[in-house]
Amino acid sequence: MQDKDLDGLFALAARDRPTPSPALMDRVLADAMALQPQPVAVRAAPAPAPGLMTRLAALFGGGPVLAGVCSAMVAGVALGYLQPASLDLLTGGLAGTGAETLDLFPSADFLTNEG
Amino acid sequence: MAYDAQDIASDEALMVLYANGDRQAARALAERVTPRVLAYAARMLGGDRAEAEDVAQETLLRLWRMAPDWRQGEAKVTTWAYRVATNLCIDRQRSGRRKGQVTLDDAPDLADGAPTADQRLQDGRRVAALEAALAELPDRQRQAVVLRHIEGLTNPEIAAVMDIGVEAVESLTARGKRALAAVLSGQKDALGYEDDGHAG
Repeated sequence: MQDKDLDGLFALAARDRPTPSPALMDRVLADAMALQPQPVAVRAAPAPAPGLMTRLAALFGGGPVLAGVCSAMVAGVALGYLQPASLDLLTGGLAGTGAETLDLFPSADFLTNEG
Repeated sequence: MAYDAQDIASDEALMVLYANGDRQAARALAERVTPRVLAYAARMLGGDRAEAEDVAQETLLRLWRMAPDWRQGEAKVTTWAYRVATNLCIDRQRSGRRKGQVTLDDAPDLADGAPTADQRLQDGRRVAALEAALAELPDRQRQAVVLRHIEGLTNPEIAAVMDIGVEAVESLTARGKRALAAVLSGQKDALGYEDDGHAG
């Protein structure tokens, strides 16, 4: 028996590989399905619970509305603490001035003078 | 992943796909590995088909179990499978559960010098004679010879399967081939080989 004869036998044997029976393949695949890890589903991260400011803003109708209410509140408090005299800054000193006479036609005297 | 793509994916990539829940990867991997393990186990167990199928199923079962922990680049799937199958075959041989072992007596009767009309019949007889001769080898020699010359593994791969050094693999395969040649030399005329005047 020469080496080439033995190599020929090995080649024949390599081609003579037994085919797995359908029953064996069914058992193997059943094992595979039973032991296969489940695919991991990609899910969105849960939304964080709303904070105090978020819930308060929702109560007033939203963030912009709450901002407006807060601005009005700050302005009211500021005006309440300011001295009345300081209001001149806002009114230009016109507040409190009298308006007892009103000359609607200051330059119409020429109409009443006789020639 | 489409099945065509799995045809060209490596065994190791299929392992990762399987672990990620790809059912087609499981089928592709089973169709690649099962025939190889079954053929190897059948030769290791002397042609006992039922035992070989049990070994193949158990090997694949262990493959599925360890798939989530598989690390690419550390080992080849086939090398790992051959190693598991080798251990399972050894366990069965030690426990004496092997039945129907093929021996030289089970090889088809060949009339000396009888001409073979059909080449396929001749090839079948030659393979049967080889299987019977392999069954005569010590277990370690048979493992090394089958893995090297029939399953086509490299010596380093066989060393990993058998957990021995490469030099030991070379020694086992060389001794195994010499023993096979000696066993088969008595049948070379019946198997259609010309007398070369020396063995080996």
